[in-house]
Amino acid sequence: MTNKENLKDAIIHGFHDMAFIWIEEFKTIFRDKGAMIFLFLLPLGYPILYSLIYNPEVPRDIPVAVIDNSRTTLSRQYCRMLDGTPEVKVVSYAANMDEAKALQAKQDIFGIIEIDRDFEKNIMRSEQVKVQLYCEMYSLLYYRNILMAGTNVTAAFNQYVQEQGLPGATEKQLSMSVSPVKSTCISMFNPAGGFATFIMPGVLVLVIQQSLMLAIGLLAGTQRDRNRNHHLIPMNRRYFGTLRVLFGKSLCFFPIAVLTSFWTMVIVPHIFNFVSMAHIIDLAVFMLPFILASIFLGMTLSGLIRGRELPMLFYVFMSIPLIFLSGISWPWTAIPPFWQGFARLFPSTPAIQGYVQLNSCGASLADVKPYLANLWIQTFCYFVTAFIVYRHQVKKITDEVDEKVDYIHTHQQN
Amino acid sequence: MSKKDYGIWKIFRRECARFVSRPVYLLCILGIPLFCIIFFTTLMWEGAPERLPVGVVDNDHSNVSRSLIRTLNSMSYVDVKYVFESYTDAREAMQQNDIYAFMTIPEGFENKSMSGKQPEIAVFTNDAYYVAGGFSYKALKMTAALANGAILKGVMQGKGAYEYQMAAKLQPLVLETNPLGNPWISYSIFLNNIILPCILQLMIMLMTAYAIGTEIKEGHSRRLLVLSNRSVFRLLLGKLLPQTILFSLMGFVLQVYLYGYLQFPLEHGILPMMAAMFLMVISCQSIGVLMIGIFPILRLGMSSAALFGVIGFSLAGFSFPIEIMYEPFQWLSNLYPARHYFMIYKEQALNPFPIWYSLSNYLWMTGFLLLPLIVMPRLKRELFKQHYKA
Repeated sequence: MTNKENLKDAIIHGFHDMAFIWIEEFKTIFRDKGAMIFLFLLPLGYPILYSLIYNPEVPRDIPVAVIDNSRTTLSRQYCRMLDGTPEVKVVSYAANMDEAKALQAKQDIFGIIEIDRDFEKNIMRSEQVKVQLYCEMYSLLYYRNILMAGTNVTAAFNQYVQEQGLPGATEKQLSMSVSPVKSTCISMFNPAGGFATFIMPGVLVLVIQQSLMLAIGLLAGTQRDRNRNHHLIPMNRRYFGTLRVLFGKSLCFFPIAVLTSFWTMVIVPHIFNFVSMAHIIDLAVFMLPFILASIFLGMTLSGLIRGRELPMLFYVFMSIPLIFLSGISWPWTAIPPFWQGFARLFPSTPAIQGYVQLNSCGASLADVKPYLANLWIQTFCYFVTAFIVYRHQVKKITDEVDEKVDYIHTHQQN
Repeated sequence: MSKKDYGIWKIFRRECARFVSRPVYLLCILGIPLFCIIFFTTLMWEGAPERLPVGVVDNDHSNVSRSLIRTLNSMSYVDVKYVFESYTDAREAMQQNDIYAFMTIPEGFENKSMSGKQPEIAVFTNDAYYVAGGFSYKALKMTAALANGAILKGVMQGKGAYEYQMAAKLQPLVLETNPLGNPWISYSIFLNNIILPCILQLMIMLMTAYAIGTEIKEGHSRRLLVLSNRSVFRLLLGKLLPQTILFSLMGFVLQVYLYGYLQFPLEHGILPMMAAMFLMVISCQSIGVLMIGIFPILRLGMSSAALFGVIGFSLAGFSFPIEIMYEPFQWLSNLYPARHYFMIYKEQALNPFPIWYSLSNYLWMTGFLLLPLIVMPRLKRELFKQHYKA
């Protein structure tokens, strides 16, 4: 009977302490400028900033130069067709390669098309002609788009030439003799082939994780700075219970993360018209373990990293490897197994992959089950590790108190 | 050496001793960049992604459709992982992230193509994954074109055309692509040449702010001022020189690794690039001094360096070119030393342009060295007060 009552008391007591810690932590956050920057400024401001940077989506009218050595009706038609593509704009006709290279060096053009002297003559004689395309390679986006324009125009030009070779044929006959097999290409889940549509989901998810990890690390550092012996929890009897500290602290970050996630995942995509196919409830179910895993990972690492500013040194640069490990840029299947395993340790990896599938590709929650499972496993594991870290801290501080009490007792006796 | 200058060396020696006693310095100056070098170069060791999983919806089950699948499978970029029965299956596989692309071969494909009824192959790519979608598009599109060409060739052979006539009839015009400087279209070359300097840029700015900020926080800055004979300039020189040396060494190691060991394109020799690297290191340090000078509280100075530094990856303009960004960002990109380093790389390593085209970028980087002058008086006050606001 008494045991039962004791347990009940202990639980009620625990909840009271948890609420106390929860309020105290909130106060600490709002007093700490550094934490405010990473908890609010970063997740509220940076999604907007990155969206603005990538908002132009695709390069249009990339300037190129043409070296037309043929100067015939047909070669000029080819150039006009090239100029007519959305990707490329012919801004200059260079006399020779040196002139074109000079334009390229001045950054006036990003590609050069060289047309052979015998262009028209050879086409008329039914001999194959080659057109040279030189591409600036410092940006793959330019290469990709110039190549696309070049390939499309060449195909269209070929069809035109082939049709000229069949005078009097009906349209159907022409089409049949040129392409007995038709092919169409459909770009799914990113119809415009835009850069923001592809990169932003990764950035948005990563911003949430990094903001939580940095803020948690910074606040833990503040606590250590305040504490004489650099402990993670203050010298206060109400903090002397691992679970109440763990829940008190994480319940403090959780609502803030929910708010900022709503901003980054719902409002920002709405403002910038990003593809957003996920239902808000699916999204919430998916984000829940992600936020929890990030919080507990942050709390675990704050036990390992001492010093208030060190999280900034160790976490910030990781954003870049993490975005590559998520597989949105460099394909997941091309990532070496070792790095795949490494990537699975971070909440951002399954979160970005699942978010892209849910939000850009219109997958259902059932489709992203593996990612969801990975996130819950992470949540569990990092909860356990955070528990161990804080248990250790609580033990250290209670030992210290006991020592002091013993000291006082012995001195009183004397 | 005059007596006055002696302070620099005292501070320099003290700083070197700190490197040994505090592991965080060497971890951030050498450890993190080394980790990133190993990470990024092993991540994309192959240069181009290979064997991306794709699928085929084969509704024809004929000789021709099967040979089409074999053709597709023979391409290095892709690996035909599934042959589906329906479009829905394929779409679902794509939504589960099992494949990056698929193509559909309609029922009666063999029959129709032989009898001139123009069957249609459709190629679907998942462009939410840019690189994977792009490379698998290439392979699938080429397979469709090859199918078309094979049938045309058969028809022409039947009509008794010669081989040389056929090439011209099938493809009167061929576009030959010459990717300048990177003919392998290697992602590793494209990315590692700039993303690793960008990592250095971030770490240099952070570490500069950290090194100076900790002195204020720990209350040693006034003693440093005494050591340097009340000159902030000498204090900064002695304090930051060890980092300059180590970060530059790190940068040179990176360059020797990229251009020497990995044999990345290097048109004008390593000297212009080494000069650019050294200038990048000291100009990033100048920006770091500016940050801690404006916000002399350690964590605010470092936060501003971090928030500024991460944008540097976007504004270097390697993934998304600067020229197509909105104008304010084009202007802002000039404030990043790594952007100028990237332009020098483009003009001196990737392309063989004469050195004077890069002159403005070298000058920009030299210009950054003036930045600390703006905050020196303020920094001196703060170093003297060494008052740390929690």
